Amino acid sequence: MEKREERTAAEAPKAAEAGQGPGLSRRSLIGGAVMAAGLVAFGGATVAFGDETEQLRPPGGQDADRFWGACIRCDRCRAACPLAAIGVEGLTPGIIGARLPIMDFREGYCDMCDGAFRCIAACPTGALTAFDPYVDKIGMAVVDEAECQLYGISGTCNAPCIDACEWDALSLDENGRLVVDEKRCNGCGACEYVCPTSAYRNYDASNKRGINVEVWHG
Amino acid sequence: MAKSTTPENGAEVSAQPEEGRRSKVSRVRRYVPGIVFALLIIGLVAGIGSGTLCSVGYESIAAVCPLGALESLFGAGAFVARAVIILAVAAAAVLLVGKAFCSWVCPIPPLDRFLSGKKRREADKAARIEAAHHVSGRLAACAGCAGCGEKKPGETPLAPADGTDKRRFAKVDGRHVALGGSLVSAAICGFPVFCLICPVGLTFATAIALYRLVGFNEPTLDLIVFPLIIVAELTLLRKWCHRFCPISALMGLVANFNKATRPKIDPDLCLRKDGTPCTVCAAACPEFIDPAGDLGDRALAECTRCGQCAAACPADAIRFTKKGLTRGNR
Repeated sequence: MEKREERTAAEAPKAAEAGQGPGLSRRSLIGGAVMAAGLVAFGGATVAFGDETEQLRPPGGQDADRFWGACIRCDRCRAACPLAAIGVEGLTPGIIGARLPIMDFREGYCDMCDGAFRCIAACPTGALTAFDPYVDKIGMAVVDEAECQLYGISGTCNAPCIDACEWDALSLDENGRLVVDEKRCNGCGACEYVCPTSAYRNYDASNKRGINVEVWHG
Repeated sequence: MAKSTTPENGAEVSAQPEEGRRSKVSRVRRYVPGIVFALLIIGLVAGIGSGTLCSVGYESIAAVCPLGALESLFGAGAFVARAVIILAVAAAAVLLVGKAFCSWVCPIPPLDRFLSGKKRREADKAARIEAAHHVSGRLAACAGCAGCGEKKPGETPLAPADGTDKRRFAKVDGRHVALGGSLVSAAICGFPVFCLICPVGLTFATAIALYRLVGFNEPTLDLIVFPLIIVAELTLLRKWCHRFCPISALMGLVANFNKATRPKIDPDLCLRKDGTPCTVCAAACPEFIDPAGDLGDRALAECTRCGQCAAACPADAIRFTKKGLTRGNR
């Protein structure tokens, strides 16, 4: 007993010198530094070389700097959307966009929650800012003349898109062709959602619909 | 490296107490992260919008990962009142319960345990025992010195629970450097870089990808890549939680000022009161802390409230609230 006491007492300064236990000393600091440098390099590389493909963001996410800077990819806006119009960006367009929310007008469209904007309310970091459907735009509806059935030779579509548009942005011109009023369209996606062209299970080559909401540059 | 040492000083005290109330708490805790994860996934599938651990809440009332909130402030370079308020709430929570998130909620420690082989688990155990050995060294050094007039001669020091509180701050280690890197990279690159590789976020992202596959017929690369990143982080960057996790570092900084729910030692019950150099609690602690005297390799501020020390204590002397202490020591 006595002897053991002595030994531990002698060892004590050594233990105190070592300070930190296994794996918690200089090695840990170096590991952390490597990770910190890795984060900066990885972030820089994805910004510099990554194809930052433009995507449609939920309402209020159109200020790119603000959206990219603040979004922590927490999934709350996607989960909050009552019409399932918000999807998740995958890895395929580029790792930098992984898990960011995108508008997915195959699954639903944006009815602006009658002004309640649940996605904006749910966003905890302010990546989605206030959105005015009469001024701001999620995107812009663009008619695909190759796909829209009103542009074909026969022109047989009963144009559900025109009825679906709550913003009176769609109309037929004198030739019976579909046209978009760019002032009124706010990219809500209702037209794309109801378009019968290339609806699910239509394995069409272009996979585009007769009218598609595309990224809008003011 | 890790010498194969035996807990000479703790050996004389049985480390196997009978199944009591405390070990039950410790056992229940093991299931809590899984239950939290399952509840959040149910909320996800049911469309409640409760969110992930990155942000949990209902509608506009939500908690946010404090690191994510900080990163987004740095990334956007804008003052967002909401993020600041949320940060304050998170800080208050840490002041109250310390780093309890790490052992009660975070899905990564159980995942790490699942991924590590028998060999690694044994190495971890050996490391804990060695850490306890360091504690007995310091304990002996402390007993042989009359430096601090607080203790009577021949007495070994107890926890700072008895009013003589010299707060010991957590030491800077790799996690803090990683934390700095997370914030700097967010500021430089203009987006929260760490969120992209955060294993906690990726655990949920994997679940979401699986849900999108089943529910929306959306097969993605994510389903393979996300789990691979998690596995790479936990196997290549070993001891992720202790050496790399910036969330742990951030919470630890605030936990330095937490006292409320730290393990408290009943000085009447602790075997160290009459000089027994018992280190059973230190050997049980997965965070390399010495709950009884704060003589461990890591400071008491790093405590994650897992309760394993209390479950292991042969004298049942460890409590997390003042209530449990014997009358005279409250």
